[in-house]
Amino acid sequence: MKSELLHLPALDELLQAVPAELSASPARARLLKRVGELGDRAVPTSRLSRALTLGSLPAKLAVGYAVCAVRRVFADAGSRDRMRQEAALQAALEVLSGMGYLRGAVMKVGQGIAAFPNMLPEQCYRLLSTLQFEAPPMHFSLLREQFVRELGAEPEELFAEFEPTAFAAASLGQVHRARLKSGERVAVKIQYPGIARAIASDMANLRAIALPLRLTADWSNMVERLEDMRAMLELEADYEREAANNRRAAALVAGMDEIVVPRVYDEYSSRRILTMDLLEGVHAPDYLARGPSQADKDRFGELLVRVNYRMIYARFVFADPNPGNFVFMDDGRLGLVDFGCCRALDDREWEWILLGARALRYGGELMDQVIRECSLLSDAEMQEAERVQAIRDSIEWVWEPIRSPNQPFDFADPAFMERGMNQVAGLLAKRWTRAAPVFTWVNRMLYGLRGLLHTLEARVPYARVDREETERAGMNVDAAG
Amino acid sequence: MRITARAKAETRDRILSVAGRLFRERGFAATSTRDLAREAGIAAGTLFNYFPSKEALGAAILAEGLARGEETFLAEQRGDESLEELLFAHIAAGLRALQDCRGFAGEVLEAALGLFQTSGPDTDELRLRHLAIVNELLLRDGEHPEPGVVTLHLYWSLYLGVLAFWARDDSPRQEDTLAVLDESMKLFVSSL
Repeated sequence: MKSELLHLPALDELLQAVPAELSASPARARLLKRVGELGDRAVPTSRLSRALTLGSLPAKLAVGYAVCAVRRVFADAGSRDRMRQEAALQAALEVLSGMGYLRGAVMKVGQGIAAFPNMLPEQCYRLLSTLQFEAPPMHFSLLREQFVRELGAEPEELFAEFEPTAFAAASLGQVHRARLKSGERVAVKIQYPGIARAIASDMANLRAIALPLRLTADWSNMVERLEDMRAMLELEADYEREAANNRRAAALVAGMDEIVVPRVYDEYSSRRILTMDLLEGVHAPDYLARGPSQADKDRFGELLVRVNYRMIYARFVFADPNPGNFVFMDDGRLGLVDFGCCRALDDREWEWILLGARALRYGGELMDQVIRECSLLSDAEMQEAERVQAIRDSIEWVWEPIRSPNQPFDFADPAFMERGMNQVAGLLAKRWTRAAPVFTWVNRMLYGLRGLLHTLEARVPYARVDREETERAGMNVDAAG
Repeated sequence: MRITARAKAETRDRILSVAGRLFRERGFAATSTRDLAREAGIAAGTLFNYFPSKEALGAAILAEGLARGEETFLAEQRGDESLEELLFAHIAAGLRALQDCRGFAGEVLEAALGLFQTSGPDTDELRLRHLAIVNELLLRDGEHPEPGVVTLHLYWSLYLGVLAFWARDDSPRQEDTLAVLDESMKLFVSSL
């Protein structure tokens, strides 16, 4: 399970992915300097911070009641009492002012935007990346109320065993281990009540406040992309939809013996509770700590790339390649969990994928077409040579593992990762980050996967996998389409 | 004619059950004491021997629900809960017991329990009973000095705020109430 909602290895995470022994290298120092420079520019702090502290649900009602009540005590108190109570009121008000109900949801959105480098110009990136979010932890009594509301019974009644302490944080909630009465060990994901609608309302606030910030052409499609981000978060909050995604993903990997997608138990699931098979295994850091062989890491790397092809060629983007969503299972299989952030491609978006596959093979004008259509460039902007080249370079970087004569491609190579980071930093610095909304999803997947492959130091026969999966999907990648 | 205590209790229960049903079906405001007396098979004047007003009757229905909630709460304790969780569970159990009355609870609460209402014997009992448990939880926790009037007032007003929110909560399955209750108890405990 993931520990953060929008965990995209952007700059900061790519930096973290660089092995520790490189941390003293001049390359890394340069990179850090560059990242630092990005943040040194003026930030429209007041407006943004206002957006980020806006409350969402009418919880202020309860709070208002409290203030009103304490004031009433005031009215008929003697002066000595008054002083004492004034102190109490002061304390209460301080707590109130610091609380900001479900402020976390806004921060989560902020962090999501921050983690996604081509989402917003760099000011936002810098400001928002400093924010942290954790879904409020739920104690057992709160879980019980959620269960009674969602499934009509308490956890102890539903399950043979239910661990009262969460074993992982999840998108907008937490995960508990349990055992069904029929014996299966399961993971039960429970969402913090009301957080889904709070997100929608917070996004609306963010959007309202961000609208006047449209300073340059690259801000102009921001609203559209905020809308896409909002949709993404809302989808992620709907566990019934996630269950459907889970089933779809399971069908897609049905022929892949080494891939496991956990089964969902509908009778123990709802929009806010999701019960599925518990996968026995570990996430990447613990897997690596065991000192696996290079061959084993390569095998997992290839599985990751292959399953990603399988999904996107089925017009299905698994846009959450957070390391916590991959389970390196004790039996050697790769487990995929958390399908909250998936999205089907529509016909136009699918055309872009096909166009990309053709451009990869034939380049030339097809490549120009990719740049123009996916980055939403006007004819005039297509004449900006430096800009077009920067976008071209970033696309070439994406394709490099497929085209490289060195196969299998070695993702441990720090120079390759650094180039990718520099390109992203460059595009950010120039505000050349405009793109069609679907690339919010595709890029999350893509950069996340690269980060994970690098962490694994995997060597992947990318050219062969690309060829095999493209053939398998029966895609028409002829130059003419 | 002498009325036995038992007959009295039966009549009282009948009035409460009829009132609960009519309030649910027709709403609190649209139900008159005359309707109530007729449905309960008693004279209108007799009704007032049991409950001085419709509001008092409504408050008694809620008080019964809350008492059931308190029993559930006391039975469900595990022993390892934090103060915050105990306070949450106490209120949540009451809300669960009042679920059937949610449709008219708002009006009754506003009329009987609101901050700007003068206190009366019925509502005082309800408040004291609830606060006695809270006081007990605070003392048992042992981390905080004995709660003073401001502390208990803050608690009580947060509680009323939660009740008011719940009575008007139109979120699916009143999930927002859970969040408000959770945040309110966090706020209260952190203010101690």
